[in-house]
Amino acid sequence: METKNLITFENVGLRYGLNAEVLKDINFQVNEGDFIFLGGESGAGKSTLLSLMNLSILPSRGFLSVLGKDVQSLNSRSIADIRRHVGIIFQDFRLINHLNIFDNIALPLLIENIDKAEIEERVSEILDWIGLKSYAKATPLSLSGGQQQRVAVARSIIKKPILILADEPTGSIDNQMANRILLMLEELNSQGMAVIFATHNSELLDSDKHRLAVIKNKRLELLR
Amino acid sequence: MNLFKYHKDVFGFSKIKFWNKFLVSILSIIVWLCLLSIFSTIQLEKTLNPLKFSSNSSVIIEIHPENTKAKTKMKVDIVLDFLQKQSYVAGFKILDEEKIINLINNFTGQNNKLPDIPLPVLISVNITPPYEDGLQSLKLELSQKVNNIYLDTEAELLSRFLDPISITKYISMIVPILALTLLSGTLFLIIYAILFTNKTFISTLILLGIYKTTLYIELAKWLFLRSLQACIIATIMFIITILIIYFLGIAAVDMLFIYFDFILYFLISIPIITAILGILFLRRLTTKYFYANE
Repeated sequence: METKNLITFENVGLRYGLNAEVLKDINFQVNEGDFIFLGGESGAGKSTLLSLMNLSILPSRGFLSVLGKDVQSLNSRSIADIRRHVGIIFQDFRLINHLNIFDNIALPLLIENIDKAEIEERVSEILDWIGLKSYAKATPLSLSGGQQQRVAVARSIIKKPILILADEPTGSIDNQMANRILLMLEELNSQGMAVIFATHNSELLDSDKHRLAVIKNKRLELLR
Repeated sequence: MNLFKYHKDVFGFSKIKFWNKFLVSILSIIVWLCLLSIFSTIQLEKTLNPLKFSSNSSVIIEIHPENTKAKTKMKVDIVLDFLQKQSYVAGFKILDEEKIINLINNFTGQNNKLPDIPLPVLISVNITPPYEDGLQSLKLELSQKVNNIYLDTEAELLSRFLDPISITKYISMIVPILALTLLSGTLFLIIYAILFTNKTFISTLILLGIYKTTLYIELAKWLFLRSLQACIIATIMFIITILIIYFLGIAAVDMLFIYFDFILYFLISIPIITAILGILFLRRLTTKYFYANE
């Protein structure tokens, strides 16, 4: 069966203004069902590369397509449409503190104006999966870092995206919780979701389980 | 007052407590000032009623006093006699001296007796159409008959003889415009501040795929409801203010001066309020818990 190409980088470079390029000659592809660790030292450009993938920034040169669309030809509505098919997990969770856990997870569905009964059903199901059903009415600030990250994962997958971009999802939590998050993402990957997992955790990068791409000297090297 | 009962507040704007209270407070004060300004203007217009004429076929003859009362009276008699004989004069009336004194008292805001100075005599004249022709004839013929008299339309009279009142009137008209400008500026700053201080919230919504238009509509709905709430509060404040004014028996023009004094205090208090809010704002930015903890 032919695998679908989700993201394509061809000779992509990125510079801010007239400064030197922060990313150079990126050639890279993400296919349906991939699980890719994105490594590199702090400040190497992992988050920047993910920002290119989630369309927060556009490349200065080269060709980049996300979900089959050339990013240079997109307007703000098309960008929003693409983002609706991509789940994003942040290192700092980015949960909305004035909403409770249930509403935080439901946010992507609320944005798409999904029926209330369906929201109830899907959020309850996912709360059960992350083991936080009893915290539905709690606020993010009352949860631990690991619990907040699980909520963030739940929010990113509630719409069953085809691609998950995880930016240091284990950076702010302990090892035990980090492993749990990794297992959750692997489970999602086994269901067909592609996962890009940016991390500088050498333990994770050294495991031979998944493909590995590392940013070195502003260039991306595919090591596995 | 839960206005959000009727509004589906999808993204929880109503729970950003700091901005809700701040916005409603500022908007209430501004709307209240607008209402007071409009009220003051109307009151002043009423005060000027004796000199206000409904049709533009009117003109006021202003006869300046002579050395003695007898000489002045003689001049007035000549004018009255002249007016009676003119075919283009539909009617005329000498304004009461009492009305003129009241007018000046209102203008100065004093109730005590004016010094014993000779007052001008004002005669209101109605002219038959065509108005311009009649006015020109009256000006020409009267100037040949008597010296030291003036013919004024209402606007001319206000700008010359009653100049200070005219300035007050225009100030009271400018205040609502200033208040509205202040309102627009405040709204702009508040929207900017909301977007700036809630950038995590806003950027998260954007990264989750919200359409810009949806976001703007949600923001506009929230602002509209806050404004509505502020208008209701301001109206209540305004009614209470008016009741207090009438209860204390303050004259309309006195009220106007009190109001202008208040505006002055308000303008002085703005930098102080801004400074306090600035400190609160910075504290808010540097504190870990930006949002209200439910």
